[in-house]
Amino acid sequence: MISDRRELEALFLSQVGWIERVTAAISRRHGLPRDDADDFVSWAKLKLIEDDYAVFRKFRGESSITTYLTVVIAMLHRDYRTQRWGRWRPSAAARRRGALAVRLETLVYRDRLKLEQAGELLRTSGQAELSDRELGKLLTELPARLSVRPTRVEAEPLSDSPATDRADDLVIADETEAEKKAIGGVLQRLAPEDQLMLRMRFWEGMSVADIARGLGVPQKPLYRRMDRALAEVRGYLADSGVSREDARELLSEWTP
Amino acid sequence: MTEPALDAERLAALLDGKLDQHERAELLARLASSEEEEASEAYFDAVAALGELEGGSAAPRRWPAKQWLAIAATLAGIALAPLLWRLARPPAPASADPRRFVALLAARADGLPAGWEGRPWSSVRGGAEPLSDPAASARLGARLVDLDLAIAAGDSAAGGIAADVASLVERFGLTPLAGQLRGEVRPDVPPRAVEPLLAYAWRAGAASPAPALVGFAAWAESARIAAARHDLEFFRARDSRLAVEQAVRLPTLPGSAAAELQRLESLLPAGGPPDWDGLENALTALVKALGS
Repeated sequence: MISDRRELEALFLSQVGWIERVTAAISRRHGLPRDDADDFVSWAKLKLIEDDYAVFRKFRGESSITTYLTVVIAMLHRDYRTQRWGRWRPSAAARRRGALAVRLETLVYRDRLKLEQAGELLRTSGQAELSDRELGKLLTELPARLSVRPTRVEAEPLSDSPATDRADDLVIADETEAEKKAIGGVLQRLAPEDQLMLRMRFWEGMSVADIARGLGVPQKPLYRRMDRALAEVRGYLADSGVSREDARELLSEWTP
Repeated sequence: MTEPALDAERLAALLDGKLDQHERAELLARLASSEEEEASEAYFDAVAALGELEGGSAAPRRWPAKQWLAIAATLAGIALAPLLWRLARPPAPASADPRRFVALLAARADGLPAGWEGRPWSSVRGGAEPLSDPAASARLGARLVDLDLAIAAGDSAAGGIAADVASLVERFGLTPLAGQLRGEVRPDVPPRAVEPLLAYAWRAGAASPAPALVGFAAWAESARIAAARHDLEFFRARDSRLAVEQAVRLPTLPGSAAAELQRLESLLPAGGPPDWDGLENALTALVKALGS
């Protein structure tokens, strides 16, 4: 471990470029707009030098410094998010559908904008070219969520209520959450590595190459392993009384 | 930052493939548990960020075919557990502990071969063009090998090599380390006293813009020295063979170095002794390409 303050400072400075790239990558993954992303990178840098470079001082050299900082920054992002928006985080469904879905979900459910306002903002900032109707369709594919920010009731007349105009959309979204819970329960019966593998693939929308790295296993056999794990999930669903057709429908959301 | 339930560095070691099978399984089980949901989400973010920044390089770790032999042996009831673990564990990337390549050399205490030219790139560049970050990282890896050997043998050339390493780490912002290298690597300071500084200098490789190139250049320079000494065991070592396999997939490998590597592969000893002169020349060309 390094204890000399000058060396710690030098190490931090040598990593500033990497720190900025990691914060930007994580910001993109979570659909942060540029202002929030800039704010996060400044906040993260302050946290990294806090307490006389405590993060660097704790580094024992068990991994590369860049990988260590990547994990630390990912953990810092969790803290940053909680500090700014409470427990909010984009839904897995939104992350699977990409940056636009994450951004739309954030604007509508976290920032409580009406769909038209969110659409206008996305279009004028060049993040989307879709019409409100198309964005509305995308929104219906995401689970309905309660805002985690405290809101004043009198400031939120019913006509300003966010989300969609169709009650059916909320039903669909609730079903999506229920499905996630159902599959989540079944996942727990799998081996830990298989649980993580399926979560990374279908809830986080990660590539097989990334999953291989995350699990520390070779990439090629993962495809077959994933098929086997999904078959196991289907089996458990069948054991729970879910028909073959319903299981197929339930899993269709989680498979490519 | 709130204290994470799971240690960030352990998770980073997992990502770098530095944990043994047992540690890896234990950590993954914890990540999968519902109590660690937030940590697992942060871990997924880190994996995704690394995948994006390293060009989806998620280094596929090949598991040797010998694993099947191991499984068959287990089925037959033969207790080969320690050997199996060693065969089946995923290889460490070249950037992980590049100093291990120096340790593979048979006569480390003999230092550098007589009249060793540790900077084959200088004759090409002439010092006129600006040095790129990947080239500087590669030079750091190669020169650290030279420094390590020179210090181990009490070679008076160590001071000059240390100054060279100092100018490279200085470039990466490690000014205090550079100052120490210039001031503390002297003929009157015994190798043991310089060891912590040397270890730190090796770790500085991880802080360079291209740690994988530091690792591969460390292999290439070590291999060059092994070729000069006809050290066949170096090339037979598993880590050495894997370094070449992994280098082929390095996204940061310059085109000229990739071409030299391709030429080199045909010269590497497959069984018996190779054409040592040809091998040394090819390795010198590789080190030159990496550092240019």
